[in-house]
Amino acid sequence: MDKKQYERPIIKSLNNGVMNKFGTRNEYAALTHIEGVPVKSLLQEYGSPLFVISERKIRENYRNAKRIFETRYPKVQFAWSYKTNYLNAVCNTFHQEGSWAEVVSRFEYEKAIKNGVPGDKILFNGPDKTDSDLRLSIKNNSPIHIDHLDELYRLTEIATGMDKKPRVAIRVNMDTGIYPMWDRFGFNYENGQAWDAINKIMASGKLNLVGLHCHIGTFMLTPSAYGVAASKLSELALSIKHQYNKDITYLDLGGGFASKNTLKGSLLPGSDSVPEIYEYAEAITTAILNAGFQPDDLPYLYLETGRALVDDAGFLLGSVISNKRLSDGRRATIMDFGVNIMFTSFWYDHKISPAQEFGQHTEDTILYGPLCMNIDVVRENITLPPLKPGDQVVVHHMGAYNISQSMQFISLRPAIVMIDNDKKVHLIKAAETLETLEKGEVLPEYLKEFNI
Amino acid sequence: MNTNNSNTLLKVYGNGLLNSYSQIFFSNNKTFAVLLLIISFFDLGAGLSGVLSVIISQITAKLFNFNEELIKDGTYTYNTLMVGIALGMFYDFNFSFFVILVITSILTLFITIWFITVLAKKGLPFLSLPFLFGIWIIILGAPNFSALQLNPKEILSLAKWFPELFSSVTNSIGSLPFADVIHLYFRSLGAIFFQYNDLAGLIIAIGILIYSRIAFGLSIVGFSIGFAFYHFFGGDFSQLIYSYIGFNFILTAIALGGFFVVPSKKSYLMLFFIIPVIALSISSLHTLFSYIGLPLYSLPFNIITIIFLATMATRSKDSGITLVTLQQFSPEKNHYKHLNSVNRFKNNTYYHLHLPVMGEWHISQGHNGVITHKEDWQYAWDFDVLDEDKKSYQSPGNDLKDYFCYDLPVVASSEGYIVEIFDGIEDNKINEVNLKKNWGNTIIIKHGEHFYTKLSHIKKGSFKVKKGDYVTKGQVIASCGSSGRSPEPHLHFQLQTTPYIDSKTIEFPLAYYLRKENNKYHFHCFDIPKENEIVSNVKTTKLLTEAFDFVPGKTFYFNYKGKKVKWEVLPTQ
Repeated sequence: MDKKQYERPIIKSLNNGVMNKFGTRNEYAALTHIEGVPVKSLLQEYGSPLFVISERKIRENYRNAKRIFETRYPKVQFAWSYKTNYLNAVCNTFHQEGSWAEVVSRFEYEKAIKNGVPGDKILFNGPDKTDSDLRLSIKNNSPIHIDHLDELYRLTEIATGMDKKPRVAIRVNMDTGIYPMWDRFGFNYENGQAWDAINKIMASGKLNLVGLHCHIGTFMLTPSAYGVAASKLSELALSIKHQYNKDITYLDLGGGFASKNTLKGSLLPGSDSVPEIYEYAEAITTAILNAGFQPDDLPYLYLETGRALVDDAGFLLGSVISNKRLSDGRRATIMDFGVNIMFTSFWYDHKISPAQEFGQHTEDTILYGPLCMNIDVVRENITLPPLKPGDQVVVHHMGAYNISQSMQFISLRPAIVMIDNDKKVHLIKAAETLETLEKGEVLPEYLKEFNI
Repeated sequence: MNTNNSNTLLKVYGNGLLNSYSQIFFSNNKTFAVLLLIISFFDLGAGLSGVLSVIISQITAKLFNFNEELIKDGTYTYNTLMVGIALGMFYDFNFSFFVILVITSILTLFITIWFITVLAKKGLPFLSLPFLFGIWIIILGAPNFSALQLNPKEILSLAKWFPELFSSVTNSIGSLPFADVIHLYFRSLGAIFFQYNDLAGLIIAIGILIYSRIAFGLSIVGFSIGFAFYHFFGGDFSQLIYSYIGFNFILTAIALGGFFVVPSKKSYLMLFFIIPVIALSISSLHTLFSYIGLPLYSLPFNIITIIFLATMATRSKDSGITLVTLQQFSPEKNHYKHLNSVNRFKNNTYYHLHLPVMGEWHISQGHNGVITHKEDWQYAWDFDVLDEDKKSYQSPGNDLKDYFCYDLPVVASSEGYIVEIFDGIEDNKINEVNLKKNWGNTIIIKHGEHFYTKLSHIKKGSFKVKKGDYVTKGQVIASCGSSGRSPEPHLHFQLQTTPYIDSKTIEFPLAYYLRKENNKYHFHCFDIPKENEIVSNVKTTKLLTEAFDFVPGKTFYFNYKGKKVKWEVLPTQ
């Protein structure tokens, strides 16, 4: 007979009146294994907290998305958005599946080159590209996605001195029917800036306009907005063909597909309310196919999907530090992970599962992180079974942004492991130590001695 | 600049000299050429006059500005080489000899060029006809000039100085079974170079083996058939032994078994008919020419081969014996090139059809499928879409929308006109079928006279075109559904010669597609996809199609593994 799990007593306020539609049933199941590997053993071997990534899920997500788009449009290419998760193991998994790279900064660009991505398969986005960045991109034949006129002028000047003609695209922003409209990146379509930029590029004769790029938002809940964006980009491409007899090689619709996380304030959980990938695919592909391109001139469709491909492939494992009862009686539990490594908790209500079996009693709790800062709140309100110090939990859908946006604040950054297709565990990033933290620090001589 | 010039001069004339030797055996293999050069010097006089006659002809050709390519590949000079060797073999070196040598070399060159103009127009080779004409003219004409002293001489043969070398070969062959046949074979080979000994023949045989296994095999096959014919029909062997003209069998076998004809089982079988014809012509011409007083040499080979090639060119169909169109100077390469072009262009049919879908689809039922593709409708394909786990739906699979292929775009397989659209039939619930209207919503496209494609089980109301519209290849025309005899969403695709909904199907290949197996893609052209294969259309971009259009005059420069490669597109002659 198994030893019974001890559960501390709970105080539950009784509601008079009608039971709410969500009932009192506990919906959370314990998640004791990830891809067949026990959570307990992972935390024991690699420490707590711990990021776990499932290679199988990454590949499944990519192949799924690829199939959905390729059965609707003849020419599709995905480019992995490095800023979403730039761990080399994750990036190379995508590259192995056939994905290119999309970067927004010099270090991401160098990371992609170091990983072995051919220069002409790295899409360089972003408003901050130095002259040296531009020169390197031109040398490597990487498509440069121009964000503003100053960049265009600088690029034209630099191109004059180089023997290769830079391959460029312009980023376009437009009214896609949603609010808020992002107009800080790229050139606006409606007021003519985009067409102006195109004319400047074609007139200079120094740049090779190969594509048009847009990235209309993030965590988009209305697929039809993509349809509008695709139509407007197509219109631009057709105008270019009409005026300059130049074929635009590709339309880059960027990223922004929603993942299965639940936005704060959302009524239903993300897995039920977020659009499926095929809805975005329908909107985009139908718009381009109906735009009026000649059958032989259909442009390539590039996608920079990030979150939708990697979010549900990542988990965060953690442990309970302590429990508290707040001054007004609310229960609070303090975890060893907080906003320092869960930056996305500012806008998501993450799904959290206990990692050990529990009974049927649950309690409304606030989850705090380990930081000594008031804003460090993981969940304002969550229904969990009573947890005691040392109990372990699994946070779902942590693959996107959390790792790349982790702070080295108060807590050292944790280790990251990846479970491969054969259920073997690989350490893909070691936990930070004081040494790695202080690596770049230089202490001036005169400050070495002190007398307290 | 000067070194450059002398380099190219050396290249042209050096190659021309070597190629003259190997061209006698239909080869441009340099190792073989060197071996033959060595053999020609088994008699120093013959070897020397051979080289001289080639050089004289090359200088003449250059002076008269004849085609440099033909000097370089030995075409102009291999006949003069044979004439030179023959003369050097049988006549003494004196002033008269050199005069005759110069005259004959130039004469043979011009006869060669004349034959090229006459025969090349008809696509026929001149083989060794110029040599025959050249040597006969000398044999017949020279004796009339008493001032010209052509004396038959002692053969300045290597055999005189190294008798052990030659006799050891002869003796070791003598100890083998079928020694007579083997002797005859080697001596016949050597006789091509006027060397009637086993050692020369052995070296030539090795040389042929080096340059081509097929040619070597053919030399054995040809000779054996000829010998067997003589043997079983009681032929007069003295003819064969007299000047070892059995080399006619060998040359014919190589020429018609693998050089001018693509080597295949049929080309080998054909030799069983042709070699006896050679045997007969040897015997008949021998009788005729003994009256005239001229040696026969390779006349039977020349006549029969040229007649054969001329007649074969008039056929309307191939029937398994294929003439080589682009000579690769190697029976093996001729064979591979032929196989390759058959594979790529075998059904260069007028209509190019492509898959009527985008992305990777799975053939759930192919031609002669057991479920419904039978009898009149046997040549049809059913398509659906599978995921990584080979399932065609995501769980639970009760709803049409759970099926991956439901509502996916269906495209026109080739350009044409819409001739029929049948719409209005509801999509079935999963596992239900509509047997009354079993084709479901259907669209029929006319691509040409008596050539239609039909797509069935289309989603109700999803047609993007109407009857009479012109559609281009790859244009989206409808969405995949599950109407008609369709328990789960799939697409039915067939070709037919009449435009009715229940027309009989015809068997017809798709032009190009990719088949995916174990994550690798295989290219198929003019082939029929089979059941359970994962197929997709070939993706292309305008950049590629425009870059690789082979317009005459276009030059391509490639950088292949660090080496620079140049291709030039020439118009076909």
